[in-house]
Amino acid sequence: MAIKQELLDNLRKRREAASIGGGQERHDKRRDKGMLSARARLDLLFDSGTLQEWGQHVDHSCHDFGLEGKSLPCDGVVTGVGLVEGRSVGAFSQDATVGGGALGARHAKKICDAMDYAAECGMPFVAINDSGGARIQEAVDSLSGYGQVFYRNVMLSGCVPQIAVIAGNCAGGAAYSPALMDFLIMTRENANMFICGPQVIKAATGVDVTMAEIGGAEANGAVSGNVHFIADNDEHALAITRDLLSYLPSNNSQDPPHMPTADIAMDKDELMNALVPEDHKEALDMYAVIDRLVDQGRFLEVHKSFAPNIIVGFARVDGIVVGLIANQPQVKAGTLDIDASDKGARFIRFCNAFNIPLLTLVDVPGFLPGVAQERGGIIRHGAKMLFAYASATVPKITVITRKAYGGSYLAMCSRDLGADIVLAWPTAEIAVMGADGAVNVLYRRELADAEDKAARRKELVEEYRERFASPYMAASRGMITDVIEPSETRSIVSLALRNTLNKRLTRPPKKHGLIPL
Amino acid sequence: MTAPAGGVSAKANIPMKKLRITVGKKTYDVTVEVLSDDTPSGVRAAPATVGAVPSVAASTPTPTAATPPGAAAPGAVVSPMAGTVKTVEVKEGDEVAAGDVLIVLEAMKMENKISAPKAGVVKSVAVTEGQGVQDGQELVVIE
Repeated sequence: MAIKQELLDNLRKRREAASIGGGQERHDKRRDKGMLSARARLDLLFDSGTLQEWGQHVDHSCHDFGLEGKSLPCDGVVTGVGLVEGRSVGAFSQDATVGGGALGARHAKKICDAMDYAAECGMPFVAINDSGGARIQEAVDSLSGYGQVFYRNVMLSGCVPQIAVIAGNCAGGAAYSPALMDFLIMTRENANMFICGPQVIKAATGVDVTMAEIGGAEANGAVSGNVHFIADNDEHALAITRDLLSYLPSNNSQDPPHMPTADIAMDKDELMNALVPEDHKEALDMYAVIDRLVDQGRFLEVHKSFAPNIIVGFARVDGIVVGLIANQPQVKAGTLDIDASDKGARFIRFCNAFNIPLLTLVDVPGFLPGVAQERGGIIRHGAKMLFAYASATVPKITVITRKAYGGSYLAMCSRDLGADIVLAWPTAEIAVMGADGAVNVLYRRELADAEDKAARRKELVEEYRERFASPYMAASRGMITDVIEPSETRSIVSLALRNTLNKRLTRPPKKHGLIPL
Repeated sequence: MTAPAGGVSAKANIPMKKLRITVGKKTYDVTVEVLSDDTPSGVRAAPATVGAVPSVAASTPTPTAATPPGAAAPGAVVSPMAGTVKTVEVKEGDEVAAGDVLIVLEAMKMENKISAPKAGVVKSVAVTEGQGVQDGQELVVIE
C-alpha cells in the first residue's frame, strides 16, 4: 500500500526538466560571463530551501509563429515566496535561458499572481529582471501582460516594499516596472536598462552613443539616478537586497524591524567633537559623523553615486531603524540642487510610507545658484524636499551641525516643517543668508560712505557673524529644542528616537497630496 | 548655402572652413565663413558640459559616469560650481596623487577643496588665484 512509483518518477522528471530551464548549454554560457541562473538567484535571496515555487508546470499559451508544440519551461520565469531572515518575501526571477526570458501572457500572469499574493499577505516583493522584453510571437498579449504588471506595481506601491534587481537586459517598456518600484539594484557588468537603445537613438537622432553611456550601471546609477545601488555581480546584488530588507517592515501597517537595546549609552563621544573643523569655511566630512552616530558604523547608503552632495540611507541607532538624510559639505559645498532635492525627497517619502523615523543632519549653505539650476526648475524640484518633509508623519529628528541658511534651512526638516526635535551644535549657523551677502544689503550706504571700505566691511561681517551665524538667535525664538555638544549627539538622538517612537499623527483625509513632480 | 569656391574669402581676413555634412544618406561638402571665433585670444571660454561632469569630490570619490558626449577633455578637472579661486595648490609638471588638493574654491560660504580624481602629472593649470569660475569650467588637466 504505497503511492505508485511511476507517479513519483513522473513528478521528479517534470521538476528536473523545469529546473534545467532552457538547457545546460545556455546556463554554461551565462556562467562564463559571471551570470547566475534564475533559480540560483532566488536561492541566494531566500534562506536556504525556503522557496515555495508557484506554477512550476506553467507553459506558454502561444499558437503562432512556430511556438505551438514547443515547450517553454515555467514560461521563462520562476515565481514564488520564500523567507529572508525568517520573514516572508514574494519574488520572481526571469529565466533568460528560456526564450530569452521574454514576457508572454502566462509569464505575466505568474508575476501578477505572485504580486497579488504579496499584497494580500503583506510581504515585500523582489523582482529579478533578466529578459529580452516582450515575447513578439504573443503580440498584444505580451503588451497587455506588461500593463498588468505595471498596474500591480502601482497598487503595491506604499503597501509593501518593492525591490527590483536588474541582472540582465531590461529594455524598452520592461524598464518601467522596475522604475515603478522603490529601490533598483543593478549589476555592474551584464546588465542594461534603457528605453531606446543606441541603434534607435542613432536612427532617430544621428547620434552615436554606446550602450554603457545610456544603459549601463554607471549611467543609470550616477548620471540619471534611475538606479539606487550598483552591485559588483549577482551575488552582491542579492546580498544588498537582503541587507536592504533587514531595515524594512514587511508592509506599511508594521513598524520597521527595530531591535532596541536594553540600555541607551548616555556617555559622551569625545571623538565627535574632534571631527568638527575649527574654521567655519572648512568642510566637515558628513560620512565621518554618520560613522560615529550609527550602530557599529553600519550604514546602508542609498543612491551613493547620484547627487553626492546629499547622503541618504538606512541605519540603526541603539537598535532603532532610521532613514538618514544628510548634506555632504565636501561635495558642491553641500548645496541642495535639482538632483539632490529629487534624491532626498524620494527617500523621505519612502521612509514615511513605511514608518521609518527620519534623522536629518544639516550642513547646508543654500540652494545651488546657477542658470542651469533655475532653468532646470530648482523651484519645482527643491519644493519636493519641503513637501516630503512637511507631509511626513513619522518621527522627525533634526541635527543642525553647522550651516543652515535661508530656504535650504527650512527644506532640511526645520521645526517649522514639523520636526519633533531639533538639536543644534554650537557651530550651527542659522540665518537668512551668509554674512557677506547680508552685509552688502544691510549696509550698502554705510559701506559706500566708509573711508576704508574693506576694513569696515570686515568689521560688519564679523559683527553679523557673531550675532546671527549661531544657533542662539534661532534658539531664543524656540526654533531649536536644545543646543548640544557634538559629543552628546548619539546619546541625545537615541533618547529622542525612543521618545518619539509612538508618535501618531493624522492628516486631513484626501485622495493624495500634490507633490510638485 | 553659397560660398566662394576654393575656400578663398571675398573679404580678406575672414577664415574659411570646409565641412562635410551628412543628411540622411546624402553627403554635402560645404564651405563656411568663420565670422566669430568662439575662443577669442586671451579669454578662455568655459567648455560646454553636457550631462554629468567628472566628480571632484574631495575625500569621497564617486564612481564617474561614462564620459558623456561633449564633456570636458579627458583628465580635465572642472569646477563643481561657480565660485572664486582662492588658492592654486599645484603648477604645471607637478606630480599629484589621487586625493591631493589642486585648487581651493571659495563658493557658498565655504572653501571647497578640489582634489585630484586620479594620480598623474599636472599638464596645465587654467586658472589663477582670485579668478571667478563657472560651473563646469576647466581648472586643471591631469595626465
